[in-house]
Amino acid sequence: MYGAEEFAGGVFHQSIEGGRATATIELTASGVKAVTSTGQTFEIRYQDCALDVGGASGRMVFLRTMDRRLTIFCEDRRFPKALEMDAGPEFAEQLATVQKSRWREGFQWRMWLAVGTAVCLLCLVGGYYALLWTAKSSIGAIPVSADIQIGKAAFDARTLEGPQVTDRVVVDAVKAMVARLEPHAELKGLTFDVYVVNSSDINAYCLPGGKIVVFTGLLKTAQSAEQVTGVLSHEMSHAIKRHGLRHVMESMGIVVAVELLVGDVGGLVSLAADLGKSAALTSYSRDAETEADVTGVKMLHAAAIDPLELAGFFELLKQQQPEFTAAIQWLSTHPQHDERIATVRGEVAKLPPQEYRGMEIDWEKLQQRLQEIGAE
Amino acid sequence: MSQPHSVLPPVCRNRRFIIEATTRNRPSFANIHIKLEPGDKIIAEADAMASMSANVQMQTRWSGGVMKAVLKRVFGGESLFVNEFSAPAPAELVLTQPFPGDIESIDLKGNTLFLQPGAFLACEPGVTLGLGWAGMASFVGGEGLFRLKVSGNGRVWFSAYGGIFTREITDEYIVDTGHLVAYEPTINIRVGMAGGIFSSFFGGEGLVTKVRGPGRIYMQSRNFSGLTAWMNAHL
Ligand SMILES: [Zn+2]
Repeated sequence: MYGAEEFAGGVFHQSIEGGRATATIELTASGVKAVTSTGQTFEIRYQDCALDVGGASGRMVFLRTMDRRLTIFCEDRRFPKALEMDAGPEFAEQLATVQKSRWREGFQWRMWLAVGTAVCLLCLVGGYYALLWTAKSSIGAIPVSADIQIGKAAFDARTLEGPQVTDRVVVDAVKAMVARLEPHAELKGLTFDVYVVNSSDINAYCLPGGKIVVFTGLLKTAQSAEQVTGVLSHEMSHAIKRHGLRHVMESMGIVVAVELLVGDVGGLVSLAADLGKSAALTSYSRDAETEADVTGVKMLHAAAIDPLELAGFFELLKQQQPEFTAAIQWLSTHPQHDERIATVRGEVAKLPPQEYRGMEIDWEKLQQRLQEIGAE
Repeated sequence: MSQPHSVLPPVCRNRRFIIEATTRNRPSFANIHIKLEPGDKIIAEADAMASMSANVQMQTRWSGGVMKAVLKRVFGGESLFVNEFSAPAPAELVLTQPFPGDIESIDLKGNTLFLQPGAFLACEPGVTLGLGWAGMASFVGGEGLFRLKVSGNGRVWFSAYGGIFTREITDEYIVDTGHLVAYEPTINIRVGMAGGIFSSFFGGEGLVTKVRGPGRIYMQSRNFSGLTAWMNAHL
């Protein structure tokens, strides 16, 4: 059977012009024979043969004499099998060993590559979170003027949800509520401005920096000035706890974090103007809502207003919810009121005893005036 | 070496045996000066034509399959198209490369040669251009995901940035990344680090190409990343 199969390959030997030539490879009983196209014949006996695997494809088989003067090579896929059949199983073993060691060299490289890629990726992700974390935890280092700028930009960018109410009785009543709470704000430097909007929505919000918008729907639905003050304490707490700024930083991530760290508020302000058109600056996470409730309760307590009035307002909403579709407005941004009522009550229980004083506001007169100006 | 040994010798196609082509202005600004006779054909990389007689006909075709051509454009650095030049009457054609350097020509005679991305300049019609996967390591090493495999019969011209020098590799040899231009199929290429992991990344001699023989490699005396680095430093 020897010599039945021929393989395309080549030879390296100094006697060949140019040092190498393509050749036909044949496996004989004693060794590997190569015949070049010019008729030169070379042979390596099996017992003198060293084996290697390589070439551009990585699977070319090289057979060499021990003195390395003669090399015969072949890339034919059938060649290793034929070599095993004709030259003996020890060749197969040798071939397997060489292939394995070559693969291991490649493996080492691939492993370094994989490790390097993983490290780079980890550094990137880690760096991102570190920066985000730094930005978040350094929120205290950002001046309050940033909140005010952001709030102003957002306020200017959005259109009020209804016609602004300028009636002194109505506006002064809300201002009095805010004035009662303001001295007890734990963050100084905010400027609380009050805007009343004629809208049936039972809602109120406070932009970063302190611009407060109150809807007439809230004033008409609430049962007392203390309830409205309770809602205001919650909304003001969002500004005091800087939830707007935090929210922007969380949603905008790295860009904002970097901007804040290098002290550039300009980009943030233009961003806030965009965000102001959506609800992004006035809709917060559940944790932020809970924090605003807790802070609001503390503020009410410090201002000597019964914090349970806030819980009372939640109860009212809960009862009226099916009847007033408008109530859904406030609920959509302030969910889970059973939970919130519990939070408020729990906080109140922790507080030291306090002599509560009611608001010096003529509630009847306020309601009457709201009727007169045609508040919805 | 997938070509069988019985490949026919170059045939005489009732015309002169070989297209007359001379490489001029070597080694710095090499260009190929070709005299085309009726029936002659030269295939060249898309941007290679510098000047030609008015009667030279140029036909553009894909260099390989469509998908491969696209991949090549994206990863391999070689142009998407090749141009086929022919002439109905004696004409001349000058082909060149966009960067200063030498041009080497090799008569394949049934052999195969691998070219690094961007090296291919021109070939005779008997040469087959094939695209081969060079591997992820080659890509990381800055040598491209693909390599051009030229095989068959006829001359192939490839270009280098700077001078071209060859080396017979018997065992293992190290070439700095970007200096390798072409190599024979018996050559095994791996990308490795010059030193340890630290010195490789901070010592300037980052990745190197590890070449294992036997076989011949063609190297260029300059490399492009060296040029860009030098330019950046002087801007
Ligand atoms: Zn809220």
